[in-house]
Amino acid sequence: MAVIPCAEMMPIYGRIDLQQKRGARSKLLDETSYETVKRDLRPAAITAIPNRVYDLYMSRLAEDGMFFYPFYKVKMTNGFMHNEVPAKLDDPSSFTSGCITKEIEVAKELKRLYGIYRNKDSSKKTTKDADKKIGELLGYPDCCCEFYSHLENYDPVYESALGGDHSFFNSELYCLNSDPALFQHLRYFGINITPWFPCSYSCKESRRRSEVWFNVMKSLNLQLAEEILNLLKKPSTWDLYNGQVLITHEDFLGYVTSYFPKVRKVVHFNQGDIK
Amino acid sequence: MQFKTNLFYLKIKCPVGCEYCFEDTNNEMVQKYDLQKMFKTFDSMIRKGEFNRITLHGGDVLSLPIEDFRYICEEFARRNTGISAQTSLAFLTDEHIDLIKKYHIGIGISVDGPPELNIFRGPRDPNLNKIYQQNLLSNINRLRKNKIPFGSISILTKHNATGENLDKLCEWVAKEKINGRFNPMFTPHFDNRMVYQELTPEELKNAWIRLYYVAKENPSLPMSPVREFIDNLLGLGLKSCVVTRCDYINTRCNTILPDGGIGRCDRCFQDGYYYSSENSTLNRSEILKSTECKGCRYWEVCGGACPGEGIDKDYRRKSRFCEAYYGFYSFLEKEIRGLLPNVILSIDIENYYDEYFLKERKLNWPHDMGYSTYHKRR
Repeated sequence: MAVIPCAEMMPIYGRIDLQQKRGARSKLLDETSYETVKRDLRPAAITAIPNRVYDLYMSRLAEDGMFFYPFYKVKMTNGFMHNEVPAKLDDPSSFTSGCITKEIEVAKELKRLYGIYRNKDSSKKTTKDADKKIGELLGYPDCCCEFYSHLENYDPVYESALGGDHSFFNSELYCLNSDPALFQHLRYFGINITPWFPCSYSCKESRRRSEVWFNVMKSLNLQLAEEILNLLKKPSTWDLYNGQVLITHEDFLGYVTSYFPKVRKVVHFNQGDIK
Repeated sequence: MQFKTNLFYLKIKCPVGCEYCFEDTNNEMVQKYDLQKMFKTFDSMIRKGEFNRITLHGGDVLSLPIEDFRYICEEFARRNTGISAQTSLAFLTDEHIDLIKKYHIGIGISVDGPPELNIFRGPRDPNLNKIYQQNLLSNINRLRKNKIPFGSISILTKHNATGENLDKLCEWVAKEKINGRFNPMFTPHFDNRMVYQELTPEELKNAWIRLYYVAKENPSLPMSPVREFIDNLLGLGLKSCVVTRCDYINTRCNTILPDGGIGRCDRCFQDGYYYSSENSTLNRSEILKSTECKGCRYWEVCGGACPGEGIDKDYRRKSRFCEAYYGFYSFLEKEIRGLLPNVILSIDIENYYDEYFLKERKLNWPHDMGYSTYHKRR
């Protein structure tokens, strides 16, 4: 099947700016990720650097007392993707994936763990252990690393919702008492604050850390940060069926390719308890 | 040949008031149009080679102020762009007729049959509706007197496409020589009131088969989807848009919206999201091919059909009229093979869509003969 990974958004009339600001939002999230390492809020961050800005990025890192440790090259694709496609070393339009950090030992360990994680021959247990350790080195809460390491699929929006207060109606899940700052179901469009999947959308430790992240974000671009949080606070529905996610948000319709669960999965956010 | 329909969508709010309209006419956001912005978008799309014809659509274009209508015609003529317009004819004036003739505007009228079948069109007030129906008939005559050719879009419902009324519809088509497109009514996301009038797939199939017999007796009527589906089976391209693997987020239709933004096919407006995605994808059809439509005999000439008709109003799914498409294709296949037992049809070719349609190749077509030559000899 020739399914091409994509993440597309179609705004309501009068909100074309949501589509136009997508690049700006993604840039702010990248910058926030960068700043959290620079400000010693976590040991390392994973990033992918386009070849065309490689030199510039290296200079900036050096000036900020950090360095980039390359892992592998990946192809440039259109939109959000769940599986990275390896690229040839001399591919001019590729990205170099790796970590930014201040400590060489952290960088080496992350590269080793990624090697295990990406190796198809690794045992399930080894992969899970590597997954958990990667999360810890990236500064994610322990409970969330533990949760993530036990997941089987690559888009655990549904599983995070199951982990917290929720109710079911017509087999659809209604997420309750959740904190929008932890939501990950709009991340395809640069609408998220934290980059990790929480063990639940009300996870205390995630909430604490998300405040730190949001403050960093606000320090970089107050208006855009608040715009992102406001979008996260609005009612929305994440609906996965046959490898395609439909996101119905008050301000836009989203379409994303994903994995194939055996049954349709639907999560409603910020819509209270339907019962 | 691959084609894109190009709409110049001036407004959503329509003064006609048809019962089953799939536009959310309560959408207050879409009220004013900015012609400068709309033409700016049009010009940028011309540069990309995406336009050779435009259809004025939305909110009944003949209800626009006449000076705006004239300006729009002039601007498109200045750009050597052919114009079509879809209208109820409710607001037709002599000035419109002059402009239609002057700019050779291709007119498509919206009518579901003679007045007694056309009951869901026009104002909901019975007295006003009576006047509307009378005006429609007289305006059709005005077009004919002025030798203005027109096509039509007719919506098939339980009212006009089942029982005795289906007989009346077929008689009307034959008698009035209606050059029509006969689409099934579908209820929009936001309003379920008309769901009782939606045809079952079996009813739709039967209606199309009845219209096939009208078309067979009247070879000059380019009736859709009858002629199109026959051509699809014969491998003479792929029409209409509903069977060309439309992706819903980008669609086979470019719509220039009142604010100059680019929207999707107007059928998608039912979900309240107007703008088009930045990129297109064939993912819906690729996934359907391996799931709900796996192994379907008519996959190459159907592609899961219109996403706007998706089962449970879910555009990722195949059309809820699946059995109508399948049944009608199956009927046509038998008819064609009955007459031409040795013919090779598009469905006999693996990957017809990729190997023929996308490459603009035709199957049963003399390749050394141009289209115009063929028509002269015919």
